[in-house]
Parts: sequence; C-alpha cells; structure tokens
Amino acid sequence: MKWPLYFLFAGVTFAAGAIALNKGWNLPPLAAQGKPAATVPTASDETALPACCAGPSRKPASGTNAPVASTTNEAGGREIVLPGCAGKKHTNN
Amino acid sequence: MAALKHQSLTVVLANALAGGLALALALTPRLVPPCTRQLETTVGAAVPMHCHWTFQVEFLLGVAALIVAGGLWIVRHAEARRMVGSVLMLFGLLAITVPQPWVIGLCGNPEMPCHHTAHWLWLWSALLIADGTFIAIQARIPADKTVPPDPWEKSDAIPKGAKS
Repeated sequence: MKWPLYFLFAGVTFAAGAIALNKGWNLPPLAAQGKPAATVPTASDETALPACCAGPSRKPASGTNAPVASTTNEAGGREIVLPGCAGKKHTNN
Repeated sequence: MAALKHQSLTVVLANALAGGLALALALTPRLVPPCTRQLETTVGAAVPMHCHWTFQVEFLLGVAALIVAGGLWIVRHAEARRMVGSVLMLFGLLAITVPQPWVIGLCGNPEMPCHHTAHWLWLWSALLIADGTFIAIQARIPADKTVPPDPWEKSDAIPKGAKS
C-alpha cells in the first residue's frame, strides 16, 4: 500500500509544481512594462559598457547609466543598442 | 506512523531534513525575490533577465528533489537508501551548478537581487549534498548481505550429509 501512496504523492507534487510554473507562482511577478526609463535596466545593471561606445562621439548621453536595449539578431547573437551611441550597435555573435 | 517505529531517530531526521531542504530550494526564489525588472528589446518587447530562467530551473530541481526525498520514507533496503541519498546529492550539485555563468548564470552586477537569492540557494544545495552524502554513507549494507545468494550455486549445492 505504500508504493501507490508514494506515486500519488509524486504525481500531486509534480502537478502542483507544473501548475505553479505555468501560473508564475514560483517567482514574484515581473515588473509591469511601463515607461522605458523606469523599466529598462541600465548599462551598469546588466552588462558592461560595450566597446563601441569608447570614442568621445559615441559615449552614451548620460554616462554609464544610459538605458540599454538588447535583442537577438538573425545569427543568434546579441545586439545591444545604446541610444547615446547614435544608433551604433554592439554585436556579439 | 507505523513505518516510523521501525526507523531510528537519525534516519527520521535525515529524511525530514532532505524534504525540508528540497522544499526550501523550490520556495526560496518566491520568498527572497530575484530581479523582477524586464529588458526591453529594440523592437519594444519586454523579456525577463536571464536570472529569471535560472530560478525557473532551480524550482524544478527543488520539486524533483522533494519527490525523490519522499522516497526515503518508502524504501526499506540499505541499497535503495544509498541510491536515493546519491540522487539527492546529485540534485544538490545541479542546483549549485545552474547559476554558474557557464550554465545559465545570474545578472552581471553582483549587487543585483538575484545574487542574494542565489546565496540562499547555494546554502540549501550544500546542505542537501551533505545530507544526501550522510544518508548514502549511513545506509551501509551489512557485510553478510552484500552479495545475494547465487541461485545456480544453490541449486547445485550438495545436500548436507551426502557423500561426494
């Protein structure tokens, strides 16, 4: 009788875990996407300042705290766009 | 409760500790929140930081470890306890490995909240490894039961008293 009870326990625990993951109960809710300045992390938060901003004309508008936006390009690499870099993209393929 | 009567206090405590640590592994990211802010891509979509995915995996590892730890209350043989203890140890190792930068990793800035959450998870994982090791070592197989009787040898055995 112990093994059926154990499989019941395992099934219920797994199902509860799957539901919690599906509903997002296992982590605190992510911050709502409001104004970009409030929600987008800064360069010092997520990553170091990319090398493309090293030149004086390519420095971010407000130092290292300029907003960073990143996306994945077609090759699967990561592109980080700093607004202060006049559209210069730092590609990390 | 009847099963508890046949187990020593050490065994009961080790079993309960394994379950508690597995539960802590699953619940800590909820109680000690990691980064909740989102990244905005150039196309305007909001995506979670990659530490978010680390803690999703940690939660799954915690649930799996809880299910395995539940098995400690069921198995009776020393060999089975050794196996369950070893699997719990493996789950602890995996839980330590997942936040490493060469697996999924945490955010770059060590002052971000995900690093604080990870410190707690590393503590639970280290304790789970220690508990799993203890369970595996403590469940020693008695010397006279290490090798099960060979059925072939048994069938060919010469009965006592028979002349060879």
